[in-house]
Amino acid sequence: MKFRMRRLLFLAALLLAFLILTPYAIGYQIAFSDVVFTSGWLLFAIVLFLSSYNVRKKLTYPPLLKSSTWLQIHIYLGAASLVLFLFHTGGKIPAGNLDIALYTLFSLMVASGFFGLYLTRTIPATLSSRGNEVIFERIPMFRRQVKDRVEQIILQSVEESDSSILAEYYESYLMYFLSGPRNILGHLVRSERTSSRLRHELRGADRYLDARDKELASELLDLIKLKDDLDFHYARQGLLKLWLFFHIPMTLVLLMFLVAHIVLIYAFTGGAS
Amino acid sequence: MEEVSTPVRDRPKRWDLPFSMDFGNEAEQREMSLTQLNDLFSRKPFSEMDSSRFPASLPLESIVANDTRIRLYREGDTIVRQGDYGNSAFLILEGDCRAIIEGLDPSMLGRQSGQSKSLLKSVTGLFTNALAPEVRDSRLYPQHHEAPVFDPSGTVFVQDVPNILELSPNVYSEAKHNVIPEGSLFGELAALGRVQRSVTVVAAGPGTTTLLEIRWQGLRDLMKFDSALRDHINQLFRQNGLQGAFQTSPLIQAINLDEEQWDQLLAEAEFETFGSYDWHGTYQELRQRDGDLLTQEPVVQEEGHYPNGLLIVRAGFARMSRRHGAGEYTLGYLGKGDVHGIKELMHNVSSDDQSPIQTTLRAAGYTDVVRVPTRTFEQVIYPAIMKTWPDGNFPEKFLGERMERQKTAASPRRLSRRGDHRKEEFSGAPMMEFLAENRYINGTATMLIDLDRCTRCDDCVQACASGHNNNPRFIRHGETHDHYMIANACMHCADPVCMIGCPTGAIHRSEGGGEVVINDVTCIGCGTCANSCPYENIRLVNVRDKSQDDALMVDANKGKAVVKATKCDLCVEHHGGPACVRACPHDALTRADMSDLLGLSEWLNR
Amino acid sequence: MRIPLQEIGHADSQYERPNQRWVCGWAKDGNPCKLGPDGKGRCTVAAQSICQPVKDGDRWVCIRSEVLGGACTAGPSPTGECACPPTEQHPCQPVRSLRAKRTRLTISAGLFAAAVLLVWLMSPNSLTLVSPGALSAAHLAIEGPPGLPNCQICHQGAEAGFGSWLSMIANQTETHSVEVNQQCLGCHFSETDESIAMNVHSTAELSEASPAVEQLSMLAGSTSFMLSLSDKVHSKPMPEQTQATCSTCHNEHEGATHDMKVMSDTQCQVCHTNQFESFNDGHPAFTQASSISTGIIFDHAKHQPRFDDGLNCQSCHRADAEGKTMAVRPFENSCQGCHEQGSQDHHGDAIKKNPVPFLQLPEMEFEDSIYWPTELAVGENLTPMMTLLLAGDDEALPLLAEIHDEDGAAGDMYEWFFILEDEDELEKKAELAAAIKRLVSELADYSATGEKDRIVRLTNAFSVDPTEPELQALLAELSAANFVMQMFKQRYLPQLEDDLAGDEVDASDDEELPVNWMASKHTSGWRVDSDEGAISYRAVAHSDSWLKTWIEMLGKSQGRADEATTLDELRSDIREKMLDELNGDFKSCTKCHSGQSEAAPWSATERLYDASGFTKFNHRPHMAMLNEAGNCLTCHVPKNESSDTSIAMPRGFQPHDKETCSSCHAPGKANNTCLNCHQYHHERP
Repeated sequence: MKFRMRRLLFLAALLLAFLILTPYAIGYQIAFSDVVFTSGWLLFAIVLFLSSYNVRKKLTYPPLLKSSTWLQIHIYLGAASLVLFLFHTGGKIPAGNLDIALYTLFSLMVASGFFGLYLTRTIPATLSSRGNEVIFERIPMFRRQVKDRVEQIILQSVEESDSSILAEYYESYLMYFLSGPRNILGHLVRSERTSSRLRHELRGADRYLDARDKELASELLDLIKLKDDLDFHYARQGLLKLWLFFHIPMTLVLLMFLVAHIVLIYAFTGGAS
Repeated sequence: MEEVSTPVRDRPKRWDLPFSMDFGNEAEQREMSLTQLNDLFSRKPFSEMDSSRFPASLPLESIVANDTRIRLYREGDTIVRQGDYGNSAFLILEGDCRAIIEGLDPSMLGRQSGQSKSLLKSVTGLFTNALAPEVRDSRLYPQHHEAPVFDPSGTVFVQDVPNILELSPNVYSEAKHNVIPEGSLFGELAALGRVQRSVTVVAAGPGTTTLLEIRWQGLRDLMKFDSALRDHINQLFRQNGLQGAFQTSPLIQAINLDEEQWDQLLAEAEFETFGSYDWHGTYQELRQRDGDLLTQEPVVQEEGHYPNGLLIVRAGFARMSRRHGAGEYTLGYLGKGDVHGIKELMHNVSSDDQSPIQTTLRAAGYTDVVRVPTRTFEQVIYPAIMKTWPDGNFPEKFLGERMERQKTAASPRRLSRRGDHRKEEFSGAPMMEFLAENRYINGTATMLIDLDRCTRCDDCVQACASGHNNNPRFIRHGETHDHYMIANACMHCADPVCMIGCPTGAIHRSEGGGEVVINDVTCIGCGTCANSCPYENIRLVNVRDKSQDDALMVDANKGKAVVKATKCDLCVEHHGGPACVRACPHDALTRADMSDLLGLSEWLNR
Repeated sequence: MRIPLQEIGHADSQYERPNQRWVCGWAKDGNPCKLGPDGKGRCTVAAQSICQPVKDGDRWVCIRSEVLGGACTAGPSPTGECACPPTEQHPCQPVRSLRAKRTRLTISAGLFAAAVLLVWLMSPNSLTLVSPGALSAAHLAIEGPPGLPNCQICHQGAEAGFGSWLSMIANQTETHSVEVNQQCLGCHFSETDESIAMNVHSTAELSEASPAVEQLSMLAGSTSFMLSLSDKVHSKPMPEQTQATCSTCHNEHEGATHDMKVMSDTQCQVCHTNQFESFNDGHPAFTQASSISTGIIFDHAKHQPRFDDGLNCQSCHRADAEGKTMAVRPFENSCQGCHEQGSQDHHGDAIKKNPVPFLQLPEMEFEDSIYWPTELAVGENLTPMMTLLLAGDDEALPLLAEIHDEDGAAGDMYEWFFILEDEDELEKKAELAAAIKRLVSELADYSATGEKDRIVRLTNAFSVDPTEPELQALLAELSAANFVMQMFKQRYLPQLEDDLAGDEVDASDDEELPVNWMASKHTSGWRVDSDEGAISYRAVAHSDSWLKTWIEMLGKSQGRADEATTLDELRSDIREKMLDELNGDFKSCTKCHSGQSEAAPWSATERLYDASGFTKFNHRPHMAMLNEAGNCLTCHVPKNESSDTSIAMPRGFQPHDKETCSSCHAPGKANNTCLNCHQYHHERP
């Protein structure tokens, strides 16, 4: 498997790096050298590189490495940076205000990174298994189409049959359901409750319907399913975009704090002796 | 031959729209007049044709009346362009034509010179992109669009044909060319063989040059029932096409034949065409009424029959299937240069029990095949093979890519070779089915997206847009099979039907990699390409005028909004290949060459 | 049946443009216009939906573009004006696309962060904000200037604020960390020690050249994995370590409770090539009993019998205030019991026996008439004390030198006194006699002049400054003994004054004094021996001041040889000789008080570290476990006949048994790190 191979390759490389670096780190540390400066600068360099991924995305054409390769490096280097970070901080939470801020920022960055990785690896499969492909930006449009169609159906039923059951059903359930994205959180945890309740209600009403209404009702069922799937895609595709709204802006904040940190360190300790 | 009393009677279905009425703009549409018909029948070759040979269902007159049309050109007008694909042959009725073999600048044929941008340019371009969509610089466009030119005689000149003389008066002095005399037929090979026009032909004048354009259906029927024409064309083909056709087969290339072996081969080989050239039209119809497409594809060679010869696919595609329960499942497909039936033939030559053909071969769309009759095979090819590989079993690869794939695609949804039973083989029969059904087999750079990896981040679209002045050239949406999606991006087909009938030659294959590209400057937005693309991958857009503060551009004299055909150009202008692929962070997107099934299945089964 | 989420209607689907910065305001309601906003976020629908109708034949047709809703139903007016309604699509307020929003968020977040930081760093109390953590309790106590945190006490110029911090970085001539060290030393090292504070173990002895450092070839034969690791990855020449700064080991700003002094064993072992896993495993056995000396020479083994009858550790040792050491109690409490005056045990009066001879008239005969008690003077040599005092007399000095030259010892002066070869000899005898007579009269002189002369004599004799306490003490002792000298004079040289005055006197005229007084064998203190014509002294009691003064005086003058003049030269080597002789006389003192050191340690209270001041021990915590007396023996084992004699056993103790310690000081039990018993800094901060 190509991917499996690649994974092994990167992990091996990472492991190797640690095997080589750890002795140096520990060796120098117990021999009283200022390892913390080395690790600090290394960490800074890594953070810079990691954040440069976004720049690469903007530069489409100079034949830099493929974006996927960048991402791989991004992921594994990110993981590595966490280890380095723990080494740098000596595993304990700092006391200084600025340091605490920095500590929190970095932790958040790594956390959001891994969270994002988890999302990008899990959500797509769920999407492709739920209806066909739909473009996120167009979902509102389709949602509206569903709404229009449903309303049309309701009107039909009102005109063609004298019962108002469907109309009532629409008023009490569908109107709200269709008027916007619904059950967002539910979809994130793959809960079908909302739509299944709706369909259940409708089926329940089925025996009171005349032949014509029965047809319409069955179409309603399909439409409800459709709307539900649209919401599902909306929620999950949305989440896939949303996490970056945290991860990317935070990068810039982190960088700012890093610079401040370095300045202060050098002002107050005069750097490695 | 006697006068044609009445014009065409009950037309067969295909003649609902006579060729003469088949014009973009109404001004040119006019039925063939009787006088014109009579005049035609008084000329060669029609005068020599024996109408009695033609079946009642397809009378000669009707063929001529419905499958031909008369076109007028002024001196210097381009008739056919080198590199174009065309469906029709031309008979010179009046005046001469010049065939320009070489020395013609591509820009004269409405092509853009295949210059790729410098790295610096494409990088700076990223920052100088327009803000609004589809912004163009109107100053680059030819300012006037000619209104139809009416001739005193009432005949109409063909529109939108760039006049080479206007473009460069001294073209003939520079270009190598020779004159095609009146009365001669040209362009028939390109028409019948669906191959690119080998030369550019322009009206030589002086004054008006009149041509009879014969569309391929007509041509094919004529040669079917008129031996003279058939011999003539076959002769032509044996001269020009056949050897080339053989050369495309890796097998024939591998076995080195001597002089007389070649001669025998060329002499005895037969060639046939299955399916229809404008398969995309019929295909789209078929798509509408959903029935099993497979059964409607004409059979080339059927499973269980006696192998009547070695088939070499010359052009087009053939689906290879095997009976499976009630129906058939697709094993794979053959394309240019692939052979069919060799296993059986080899076996039969060497042993007494004769094995029938193992797999059915059907024309997917249309297929041009060269058949080496069994006898010729035994006399020429078999010995040659035995000479090259004494033990008689030759490397699979000489059967051509797709044959080799038969094994991977041997059974529906089989588990993958490496014996871990979690992962399915995605390049199995269903996928083959899917690709063949939708004719995606045509693509050489089909955009495949793995929906299980794609995070819908639209980085591909972003990258694409950044390379095309802020305009995406595809839609990240399309038919899905399993968790694979064929996105709505130009596939740069092996058989680019979109290029048929472009009036200005704006759509063409680029010099370098043969990518199908559209020259935005010469495109007149007629939509021919967009309509003929079976995959709807070409899109017409309203362009905005850079010099007019990005307002919609309108035609100078007609006031109509100016539209241009746009499509993926595989980033031919830029370096480093298609941006979409390089921009995908999750390895979810690729541009797959369907002729390389090995590569494809590798990608599918990552 | 399932309806597809999005139909595959490519033909009538426009490009999706997520790359655009602006999207139609209606998009979120699901009906965006086909045209879309322009690049600058303006809705252009209204502006563009006017068409220019074209004339087709004789009627005008609307040719409004598809993206604007196509040809309008109404169509143009007969005169050809566009009658299109402004638009089917109401103009919208375009909104930013997702990506545009993200970009904006990113930028604003960055700016916000920058702003926050600047405010922090510029703010008056920026120091508290940037402080990396609370100081250790001790340092926290140090007061800064009022109103400011006390950063700048260590970080000079810290109070100057952000701007100056930047400039600090800009011109880092000597690094700031050294600055900090200076601050440390200010409190933690005496002026004299500052120079060596940064040395290895902050000691001068352990110079880079010293073998101790030489053998610090990194981690040879290291046993610990970490160390061998460290060894592999770098070989830092040890001398560099002398550049180590305080902060190398002592991390401040770790909070009030943080112990700045903790160090790991491995860190010690980085340098110390004699590697071992832990105290319990591989630490070398103790070669001798704790070598911390109390200054009193006392062999516990010899006293073993006493322990058998009742004597125990506590009778002589009591924990000091800190409880760290077991101090020796004073003589009166601990020793006197046995070693008291007149006690009858076999060496009870050791301190009182063998009196120390002070003065004795040597037996000399003269040809011509020299005033000298020839019958009474029977001495055969000059006593050491006498010689020393004579050495104070410049005229006598050459004679003394001669005497000692002849046969190295002041001992046998027989020839010198009796054989008369030539005039020259006689001369010398006469001079010697004169010198002695001068001495006697000087010692006997009550008057101030006598006092003065004595000062001069002593100063010369011991080449010690007259102001020195020892000299003063001796002077006092001599003066106190005037009367004894008077008697001596009366008894043997009654006419001395006249003789020195230069009158003719004759020894025969001296009248006999019948009584032989101050001659008891048993009295202690001064004794004039009429038979021998000598003065001797016997210690009165323990810590007898006469002997003490002399011992201290000699100790003081020891090595005080300024070889300026030949005389001084002579003196100093005479002193050396005399010292040796006197040692015999002082034995009863030096037996316990190791008098060799410059200042004789009379009391055992002060505590001297041994040469390598890297070990420490605290009795108190251990005492807690030794409830009964005598349990001291668990660690302090007196030597016995079985113990091997090859190893040193100070104060009669066998080397401590490591097992005794390691039985408790073991992993998981009591602390067994290096620093528990060893200290890094020789000069202790």
